[in-house]
Amino acid sequence: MTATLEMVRMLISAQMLTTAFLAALLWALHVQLRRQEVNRWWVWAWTLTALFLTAGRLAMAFPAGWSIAKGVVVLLATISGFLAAPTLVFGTVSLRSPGTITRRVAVPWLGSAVALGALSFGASLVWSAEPLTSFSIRNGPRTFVLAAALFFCARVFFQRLRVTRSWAALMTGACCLIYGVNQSVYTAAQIAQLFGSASGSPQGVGRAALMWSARFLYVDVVMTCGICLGMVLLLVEEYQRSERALAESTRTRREVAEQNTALQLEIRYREEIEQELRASEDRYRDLVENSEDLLCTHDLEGRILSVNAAPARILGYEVDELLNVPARSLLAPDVREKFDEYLRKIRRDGVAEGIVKVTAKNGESRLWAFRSTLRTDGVATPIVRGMGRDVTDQHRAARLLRQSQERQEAILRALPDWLFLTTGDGLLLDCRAKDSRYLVMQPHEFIGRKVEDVLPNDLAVRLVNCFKEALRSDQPASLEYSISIGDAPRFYEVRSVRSDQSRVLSLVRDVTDQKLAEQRVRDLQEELAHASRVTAIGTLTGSLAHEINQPLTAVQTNAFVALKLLDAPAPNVGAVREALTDILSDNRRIDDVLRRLRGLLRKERRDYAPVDVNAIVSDVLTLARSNFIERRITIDVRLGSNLPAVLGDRVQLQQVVLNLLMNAADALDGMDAEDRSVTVETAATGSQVSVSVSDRGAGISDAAFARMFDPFFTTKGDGMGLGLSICRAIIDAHGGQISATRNPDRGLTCSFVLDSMVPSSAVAAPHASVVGLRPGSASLADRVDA
Amino acid sequence: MSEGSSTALAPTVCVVDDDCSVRIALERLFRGVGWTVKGFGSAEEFLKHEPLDCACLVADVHLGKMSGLELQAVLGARGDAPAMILTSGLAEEEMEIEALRLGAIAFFPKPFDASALLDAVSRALAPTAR
Repeated sequence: MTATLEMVRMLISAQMLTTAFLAALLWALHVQLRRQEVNRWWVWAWTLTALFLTAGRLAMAFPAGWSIAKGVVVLLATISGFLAAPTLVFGTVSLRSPGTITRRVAVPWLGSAVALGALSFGASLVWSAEPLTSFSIRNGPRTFVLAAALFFCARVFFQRLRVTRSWAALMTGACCLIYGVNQSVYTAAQIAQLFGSASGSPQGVGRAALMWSARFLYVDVVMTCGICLGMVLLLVEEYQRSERALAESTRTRREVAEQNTALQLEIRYREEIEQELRASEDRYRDLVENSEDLLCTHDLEGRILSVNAAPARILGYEVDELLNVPARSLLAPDVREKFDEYLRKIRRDGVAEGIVKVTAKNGESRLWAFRSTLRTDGVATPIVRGMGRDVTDQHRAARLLRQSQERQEAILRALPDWLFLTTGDGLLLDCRAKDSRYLVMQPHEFIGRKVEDVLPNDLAVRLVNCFKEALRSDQPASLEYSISIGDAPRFYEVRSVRSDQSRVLSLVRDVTDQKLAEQRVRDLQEELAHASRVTAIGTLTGSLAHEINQPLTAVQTNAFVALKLLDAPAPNVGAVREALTDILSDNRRIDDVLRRLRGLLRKERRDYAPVDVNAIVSDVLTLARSNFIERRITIDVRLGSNLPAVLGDRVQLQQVVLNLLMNAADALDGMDAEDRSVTVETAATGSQVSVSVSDRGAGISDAAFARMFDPFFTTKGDGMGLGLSICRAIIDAHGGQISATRNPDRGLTCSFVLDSMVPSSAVAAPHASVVGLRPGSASLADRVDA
Repeated sequence: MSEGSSTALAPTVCVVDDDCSVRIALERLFRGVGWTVKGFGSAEEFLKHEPLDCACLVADVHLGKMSGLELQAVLGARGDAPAMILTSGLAEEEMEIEALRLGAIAFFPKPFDASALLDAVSRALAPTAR
């Protein structure tokens, strides 16, 4: 018994010492290791345990029986013992989840522990007579509470072991478990002791149990050491982890910072690249979008993958619309089946090109020249790059040009003319002659030579002038010439136009046939005019006879008288001279009439010369006078003074005047004597000379008036109807106008106007009196002797 | 060459012709044989200045307004017409027939033989013929 107590004392002392040492160690750690919450509780736990053990050991030193001092020491031991359990739990809980143990949590527990300690102490005092019972009452709850705390700690440490695989946790947990079991055994022993003492019987059982369990006090020492050591190690471990975490965090932070810098650099670099890419892409996009070329991609099935604006615009689609349309359907229906061939060729050769006909949305056909290439690199599925150009307009232009050229060729083939291409100074560059029979020489002989080396010099000069004129202006220059081919003259008409800056295109037309035909027409006209004149004079025959018979009569009579006078014994010479003088005069009269008649009957070519209109009228009146006398028509002649000369053919103009006079006279047939008069008037009006003949006849119908200048139109029973039409032809040929007007009262006035040669005439009418007519004379019968 | 040289006994011959030279030639012809001659340019002039002793009138058919035939008709209607001889530059048969029908003693188409005319006028002037 005493030996056991001694051993217990020794063990308690050892436990006390180790616990104090460990408490001191923990305190040191606590100071060193940043005063962690867990550490603080554990420090307190082991300090209280050390205090409990110290106080317990002290109490054992007191003699049996109670004293105040012993009571204080026991109370101290009891309360310390009770407080050790919650602080131990607090430390462990803090280890598991720091910050859980606040003051509000801690105070009630600690208070409860103190209260429980005090209560145990009080109870033990009650049973102080029974030292063992008193001890058990005092110590039993404490060991129970401690065991519970240790089990809780063991559980937490084992949990930690599962998480961290820490040897310290394993050791601590195991020590806690064993220590807890040990304490549980104490508790059980003390309860048994209590029940034993309570039943009063075998006191020895409880005591024996107590004694038995005291043998395991060394386990307490070991376990306390293990737990404390484990806790130290755990703290160190915790510290190391936190140090590691700190270092890790610092490193991480540094790395993060470094990475951040690198990242920012990277980002900036990327941004620059991206910007460049964007600019580049923008450039290319702009290029593609705004390209007039047709750009697209499609897959090998013919699905359009991308397309630029140009084809969409041409086809009348939106770009998005085109992306939903199979490429095949864009082709013109008649070439659609070739699309497969195209795809096959692309697949086989990697390239296809050509011209394709496509159909726009509005049905219009367009032609596209395209070149498609296959791309297999860098893409998941092969795509076809199509590039093209709308060549519809070029094709149309080319076709039109071809047609135009063909048409030109056709025109040139159809042209009977010769075509010459020359320089402005007459170098012959090219010639196209459908019929080269009449060319001076064959084209191959004169191409490359100058006009003057080929044609007569004077003609060459005229031609070169014509070329130069054509070159100078936009207007064609023309020229007519004749040249002898063989022994017959041929006539040509040249029309030159500027072909370009330095060359002249000349059309040379053979107008020989035309010229000959014109000549024939002129001849026929002359013939006709002559025939008409002869006819007109035929109607005058009687009057003309009268005109000649009168002077003939005078001549004959005078000659008879002269002869008679000479028969007299003393001829009256003066009288004879008088008679002979008259004979001469009358002969001149006859000659005059005959001359004019001959002039009218003359059949000669048109001969334009300056003529005096008054003289023409007078000549005609000379011839027609007798006719008018015979028909008892008075003629009123009003010749204008100072008429300018006109350029004309005297005979033809006489014919016109005669015709108008005869028509006027015819219009008077059947009229009363007082209306039987014709007025002939000449006048100068501005730059023209007019001749008018008016009658006072019955006039003609509207229909006849409208047609009076038409050929073969006549109101006379015996007329051919050619007189006035010939008059008009003659006046037209003179560049004048002939017209008829109705007189206000009655009859018609026929007149013609001719351009004068000189506005105010130099050619006056010096022989207005040749025919012995006085302007304004009432009648031809009133002849004035010259 | 005016009527001033004519004798009172000689009969007067009148010439009406609008052609000056013919009239002058005829006047000269008749005066040459000693007759008194008076010349007129138109029928109207003759009627106005008709001499009372006009024994023979030689007139052209084609005159101005009044023709020789009309003059003949006027004189014929009067009853004391002188003997009339008509001439014409336009010899037409109808004209001659008309003249003779109206009482002309002769018709001479121009140009005529001067002696034949003289004979005709002489016959007209012969008292027997009257």
